[in-house]
Amino acid sequence: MRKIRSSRILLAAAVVSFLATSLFAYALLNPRRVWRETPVTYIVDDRGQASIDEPDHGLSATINAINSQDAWNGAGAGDVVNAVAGDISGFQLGDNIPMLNFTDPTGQCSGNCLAATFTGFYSRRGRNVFIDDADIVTNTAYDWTSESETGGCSGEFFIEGVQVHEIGHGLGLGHTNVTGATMYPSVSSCNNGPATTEADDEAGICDLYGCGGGGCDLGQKGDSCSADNQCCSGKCRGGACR
Amino acid sequence: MLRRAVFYTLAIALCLTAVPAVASTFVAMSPRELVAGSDAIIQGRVIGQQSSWSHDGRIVVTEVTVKVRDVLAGQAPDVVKVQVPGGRVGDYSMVATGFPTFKDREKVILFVSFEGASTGRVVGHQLGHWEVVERLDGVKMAVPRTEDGASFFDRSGRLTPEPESVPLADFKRGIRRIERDTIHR
Repeated sequence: MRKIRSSRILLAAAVVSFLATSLFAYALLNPRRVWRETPVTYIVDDRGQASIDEPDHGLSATINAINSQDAWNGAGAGDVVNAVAGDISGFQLGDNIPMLNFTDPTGQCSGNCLAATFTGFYSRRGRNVFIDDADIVTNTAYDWTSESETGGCSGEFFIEGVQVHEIGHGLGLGHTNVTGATMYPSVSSCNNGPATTEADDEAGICDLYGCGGGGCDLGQKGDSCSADNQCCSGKCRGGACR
Repeated sequence: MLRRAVFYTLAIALCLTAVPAVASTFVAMSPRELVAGSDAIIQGRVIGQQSSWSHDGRIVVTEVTVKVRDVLAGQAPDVVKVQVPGGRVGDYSMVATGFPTFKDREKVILFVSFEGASTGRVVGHQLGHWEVVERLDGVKMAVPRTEDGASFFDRSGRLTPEPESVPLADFKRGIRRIERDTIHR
């Protein structure tokens, strides 16, 4: 009897393991973090990416890719991101103004780093932690291109795909093991596939921000609150969601 | 009772290992590129970590202090400090996915590029960060700290194999061989 029970436990674990890797391949940042409100407005560096041979250096191409219904806004959770061109000279984490910088004023994304997302949040107890800010930097040591640049692609990286991927991090996603998904941790040069999200990416966004009314982007149990309407449960007691 | 505990442990472990991990994408660097890009390759122990806002106030960075036990290549002082993005200042935390993070008292091997006499950066980010772990049989291993799932592609777009653990002695021999070959060229 004990052997049968143990076998069942192992079988159940194996099934959970299989499901976790096959059906829920996307990953969330750990601990889980979401924005309190969507869409998240991203200020995109209005200087563009200097190495892109276009009048606006890939600015419009990047914004259009981020806002496209073929990317995060078409995942089923409504518009979760709104990219707009702007001045990013005040680039600073912690100011609650998400920015996408086509350079790297921090000097951290050097060497073999293509682009990086720095996510800031206030630590507090509870399962759900709200993102305070998520800024993106780009390594200018690489050659970049965009779909609208003429002259073909040779050894360059598509700015749209890489930045849609970084925006995914900014929204609270980690990496997936589903090949071809935007959040797959690899992209080859001259491959703009990540600019278009796949079902796995969309499942991740739905997990974070809810799709079809099944989710909730308000406070979870343990999150701090000051009113009932800030909590998924509708109950704010003693400054924390019940 | 013990058997049941083993089964439960195994079951939990199966579930945990099934969860995909978080990381960022970086371009792959070959061992030769890592060595060539480093001023020193050091083995040592983390003896301190201090997070703060960067000098320009843009991001949170952590200064990791390493007491050097052995210098595998190049030259390094007895104590080396490397700066990595991310960390926690007060109740504000910054996560820089894909960049190295360190445990207190962690035994490390680091590929370091110096920016000052004793301060620098980790070359290759996670690729330049290894942990020294002693196996049950006493063999010391160099374990890559890309355990959070970082995969790397080279400039041509080819996915390269994830770094694997190797005996520390072999690791050191390999580094010194690469360094010797590089110098001879």
